[in-house]
Amino acid sequence: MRRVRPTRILVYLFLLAVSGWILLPLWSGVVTALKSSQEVVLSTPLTPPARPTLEPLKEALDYLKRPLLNSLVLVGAGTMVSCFFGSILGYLFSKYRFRGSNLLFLLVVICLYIPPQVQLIPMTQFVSKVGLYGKLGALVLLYMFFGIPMCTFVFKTLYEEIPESYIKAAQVDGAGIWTIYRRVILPLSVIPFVIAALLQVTIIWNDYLWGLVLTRGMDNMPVTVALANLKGSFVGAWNLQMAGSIWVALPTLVIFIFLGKYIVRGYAGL
Amino acid sequence: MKKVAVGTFLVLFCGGLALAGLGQEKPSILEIYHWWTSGSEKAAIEAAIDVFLSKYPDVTVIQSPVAGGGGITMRQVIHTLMLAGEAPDSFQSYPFGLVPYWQAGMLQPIDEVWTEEVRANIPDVVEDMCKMPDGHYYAVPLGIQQAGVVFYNKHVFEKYGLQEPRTWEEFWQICETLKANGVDAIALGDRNAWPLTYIFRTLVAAEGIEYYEAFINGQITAPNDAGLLDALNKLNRMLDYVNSDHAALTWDQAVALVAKGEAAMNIMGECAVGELLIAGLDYPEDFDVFFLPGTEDIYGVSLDVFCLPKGAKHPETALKWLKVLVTPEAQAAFAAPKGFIPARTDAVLGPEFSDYQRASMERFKSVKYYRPGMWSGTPPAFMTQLTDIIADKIGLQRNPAAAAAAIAELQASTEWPITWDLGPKG
Amino acid sequence: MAKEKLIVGLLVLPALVSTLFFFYGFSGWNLYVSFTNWEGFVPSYRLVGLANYVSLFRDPLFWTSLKNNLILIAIFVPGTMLVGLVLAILLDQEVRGEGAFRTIYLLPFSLSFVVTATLWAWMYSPRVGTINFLLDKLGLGFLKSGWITDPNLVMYCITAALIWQFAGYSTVIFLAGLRSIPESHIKAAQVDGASSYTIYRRIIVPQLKASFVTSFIIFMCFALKAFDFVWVLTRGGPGYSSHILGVTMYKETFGLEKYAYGAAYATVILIVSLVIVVPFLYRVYAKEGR
Repeated sequence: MRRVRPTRILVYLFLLAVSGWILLPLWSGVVTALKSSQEVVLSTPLTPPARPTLEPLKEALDYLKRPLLNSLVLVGAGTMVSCFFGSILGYLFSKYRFRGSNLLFLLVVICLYIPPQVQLIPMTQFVSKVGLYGKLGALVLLYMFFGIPMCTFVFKTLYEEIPESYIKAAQVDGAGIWTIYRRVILPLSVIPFVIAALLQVTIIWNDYLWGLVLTRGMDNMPVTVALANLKGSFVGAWNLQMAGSIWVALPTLVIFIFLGKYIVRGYAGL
Repeated sequence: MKKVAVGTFLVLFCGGLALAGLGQEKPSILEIYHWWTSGSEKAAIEAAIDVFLSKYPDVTVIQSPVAGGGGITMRQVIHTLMLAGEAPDSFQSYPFGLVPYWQAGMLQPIDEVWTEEVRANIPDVVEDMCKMPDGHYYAVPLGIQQAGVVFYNKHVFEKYGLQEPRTWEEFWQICETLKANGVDAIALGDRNAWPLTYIFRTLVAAEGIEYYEAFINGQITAPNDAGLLDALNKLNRMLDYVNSDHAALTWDQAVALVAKGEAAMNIMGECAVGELLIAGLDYPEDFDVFFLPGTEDIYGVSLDVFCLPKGAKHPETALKWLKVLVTPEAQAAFAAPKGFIPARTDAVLGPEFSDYQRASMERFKSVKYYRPGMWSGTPPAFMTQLTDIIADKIGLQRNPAAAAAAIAELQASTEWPITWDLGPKG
Repeated sequence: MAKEKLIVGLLVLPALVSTLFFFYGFSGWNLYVSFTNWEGFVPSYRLVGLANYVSLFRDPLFWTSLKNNLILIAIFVPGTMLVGLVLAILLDQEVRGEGAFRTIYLLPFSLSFVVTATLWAWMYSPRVGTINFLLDKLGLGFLKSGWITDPNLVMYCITAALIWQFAGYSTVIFLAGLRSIPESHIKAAQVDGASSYTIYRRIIVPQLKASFVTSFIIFMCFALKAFDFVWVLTRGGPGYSSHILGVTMYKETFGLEKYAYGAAYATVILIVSLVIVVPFLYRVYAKEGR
């Protein structure tokens, strides 16, 4: 139990105030999602609906059914695989120094700052040559690979907190690289995994550019493309888009709640 | 924990690959890209596709809607696809947007679609917009909407005893009267920059059809050009009568101000009609239209077209699609939900067409001159920079002289592959 | 031992190599393009040396975009880290309903940029927006402003909205960091009679190094990729006042079809990030004699 003692009331008040700040912008979104098209035009985003309707929610869900499924697959496969590789690579970088490991790690981190537009055209050409164009598989592979630098960085940084003594002890027992990973590192990976997964889920779920260019047809659309479509090009279908964004936020929120449970004392295992 | 993780990973990995494997090629496919993603525009494209499917029921139409209008997003996607060799069978574009692809030799001529019958029933100006400088046809029109219309709230006008203006003095008088009564004369929503330039484009047309022709042919290269300065000064003056929060609103929120009676007028294309109708207003009881002095005998043609790229995987199906699009049935089916008018003059305006659309069609048939809307008639790079110049020099700095200098320079430095001739019925 | 090395190698090497190929191979292509004169749709690979970079540095729009980007980075990165740290410390006080607070704070993070940018546009709208409305209601009407319609304020408005978006995730990073500090360290200091402030300053915060490094690198990454958000919120306006490097690059490449010029922009964006990130990493790791 922490012995720190700010006035408990103040703490709660502050946390509640912050919650208010977080929730405030969402008010307009929720309110708009419940308006009919006519009301959207005749009222402002601030005012609650005079005649709330669930129509936009129904219509949006109908449009989003398949894209939601697509994005879940993308997020699942992309997160799992990049976290898997990121974890192993992070382990190697953090516990084994070899010639050029610093430089190599730096190269990996720099990948995070390469603007995606740079890769747009050559990546599309590559995907086309490999014959994967237009199918969801192209995105799956892309997210797997593009997530590796980020995950490697997160895992490496957090694995560094694991004391060297643990590794040395295992080596004394005759454990090799892989065994050390399985016995020592993996059990301590819950928190790094949560941090990396939260990030990967958000990045993949929110990606618009690759989903737009690399998939074709409404069966393959990820959810962000579908969400942008709901707004319309020359119509102001805000209620549909806001309703859609509620549906789109739900799966990520569920994942976040599930992952958040692991950020509790004791799971670091130290 | 580890077993769960590995298990989930395997399941999802396989699931991912399986989904990737799905969507194997079926026979008779048509892959199209367009930007009609929602609401009435979606209803419109679905209607056109239905007409197509009624003639070719064994074709699977794979649509890839791309939200964002004919602007950057669609161009980004199509450029990337063309460069990667994955061109779709057909895609939507503004007519001028096709010029770079034509210059690169990436479009197929489709003269066979433009039969005698088709050409006889499509107005010349539309035909010209579907041709390239080599004289061949490369596109088919889908839905004409009028550009540069002034929509106004009838009740607001009646309240202050205002009439549709016939001269510019009358127009400014209306604005002054409204301002004196605390009403925003003109509603503007230029958070996304283009609506302000939209008004400018209409003002260029108000300088007369010859001037407009010179402008879209890139001949206005003197910074002190009288017509240019006049148009910019009018635009600048209009900003005195505009709602104060215009830079935070989108175009549809501006139209909403007119619908609610909080502003009187809005200068827009016919997409505004959709919003006004959704709001429950009727034409011509609640809202009506007039045309800026100088544009009364000009019809601004905003055209969307479909084309046939080289390297399309199903060119025969694509040709069938294009041929169906130019039939009166498809044109009428498409135009009705969206508020467009059909490109074919022999199309039947059934009961689904609103009174407004009928009025627009009448005007289309009876007007003296036609002008291509600027996004339809000038290079996209020019339009992008024009939008920036207007947004910065007029919207922000309120400096017509600086804007004129910048625009003149832009005109001089742009390449103009197409020369327009807008003579009577041109 | 050798066998294990082989397993790991086989597992890891293809992934590493492919990843590096996807990033550096393509960057190499981009770099090459930036030295050509490719303009317009048809690719042109004629080399023109540094001409694109020269025009870039002569372009006032580039400097405006760079300035805006630096403002964004300078406020957003430390701002989000600070907010996360403070919230994490508070949430760590055995607060009832911690899970609920954490979930609420993560809500923005679960929403797409496209949606949150629209929500903030509605918040910042001068006449019908939430912020000015509330200011009026609270009697603080004099604080009302044009927000995103004011070219002097717009970058700060954008930055504040971005901090809102990432605050929850930042909290999670620091909370995880706090929770991984061994109890024993804290208890020892408490037994020694240290005040809570000292405990935080001397013991806890230094041990949050991993959280600081992680959040810095990640938020730098997002600051440079904030393109989607800015595009939907202001389109870079009013005028050019909220253009950031990503926005300008996008317009040059696909709006004006100047691919080579856009490629030069991309290279410069990368260099700007490196100038900030590499010294940071160096300082962090060099201290340990790595």
